[in-house]
Amino acid sequence: MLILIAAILGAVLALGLDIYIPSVISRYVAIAIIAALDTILGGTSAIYEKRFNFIIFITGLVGNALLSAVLVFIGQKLGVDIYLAAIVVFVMRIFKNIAIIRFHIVEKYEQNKLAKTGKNTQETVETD
Amino acid sequence: MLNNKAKITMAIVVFFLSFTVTLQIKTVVKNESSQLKQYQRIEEIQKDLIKEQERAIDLEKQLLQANNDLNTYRKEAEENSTDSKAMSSEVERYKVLAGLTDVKGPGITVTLNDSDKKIDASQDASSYIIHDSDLRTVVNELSSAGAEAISINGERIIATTEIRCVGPTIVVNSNKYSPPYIIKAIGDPAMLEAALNIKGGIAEELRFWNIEFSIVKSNRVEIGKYNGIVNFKYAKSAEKKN
Repeated sequence: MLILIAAILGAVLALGLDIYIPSVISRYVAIAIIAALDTILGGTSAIYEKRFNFIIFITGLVGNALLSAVLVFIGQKLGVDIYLAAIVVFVMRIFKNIAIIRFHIVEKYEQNKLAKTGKNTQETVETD
Repeated sequence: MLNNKAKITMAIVVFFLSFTVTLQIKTVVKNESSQLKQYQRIEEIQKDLIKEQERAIDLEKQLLQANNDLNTYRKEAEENSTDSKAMSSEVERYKVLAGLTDVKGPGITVTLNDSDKKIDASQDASSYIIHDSDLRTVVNELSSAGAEAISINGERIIATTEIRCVGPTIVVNSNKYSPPYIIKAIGDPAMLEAALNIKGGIAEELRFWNIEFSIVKSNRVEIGKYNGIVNFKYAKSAEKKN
């Protein structure tokens, strides 16, 4: 699928270029990545539940990433490990969203299976 | 179920995310490996240090042994009277180290002079003149900075030299001197100068009381020999002759 290609392309490009993330912002980029991952999975689960909203997705993506980076920065200045709480929240939501996606995929698969067996019995009835 | 708009948006977003994630992983791996290299380097240096220390101990043992051998040979030469040349060069060496010869080399020349500031009667005049303790401090600083030969107004400082004040003058090697005092020292000019100029040091202190204190570095400082007679009446050699 297109998304898979996009992911591979991104990774290959990053490996190929001799560029690194400046170590000063490295820790903030790390937490922003977790936030973005959570938002993307949230968006995907919204697609499966037919409630995808483009604006909410984009604003959530950029907003969460920036907000988490800012929170971690403030936490560092205050001497409080805020990044720990951010990690807990995001990973929790990642698990929840993956569960929703898994549910819908399995449901679809089972519906397809049910439809196929339903068609088979119908055909056998007709040919009789 | 996935309309095209969502698909394309997702693809773009996932592209950027995977790009960033890969960059981040690259950076973290690089930082960790460089930290690891630093630890390895520290371990290496520690090992080298221990090796060098062991070597130093070995060399000291060798030096001790060589000195013992030297003494033995010297004793034999004395008895056989064959190597008087070695002996006389030995004596020459000791004369230089004892300050009994003229020497030259890189070093500094320090000039001290009393303050010419006019002070009224209410101030303590003694703070504005040079004391024997000041000269002793300068000599001490120079020695601790590695000076190998020091002289004050031409008087070579040797092991038995005194620096004492008698009234308004200073006595060195039983000779009287008055300011200006010219102190010469042979050693590493930069180190000698630095030792005098340290913060809170003798130069700062004397300059505070307006005493002239000038330091001139030179590649060729000449210091004369000790002119007096060295004669020990009380101290006798304690070297064991074996």
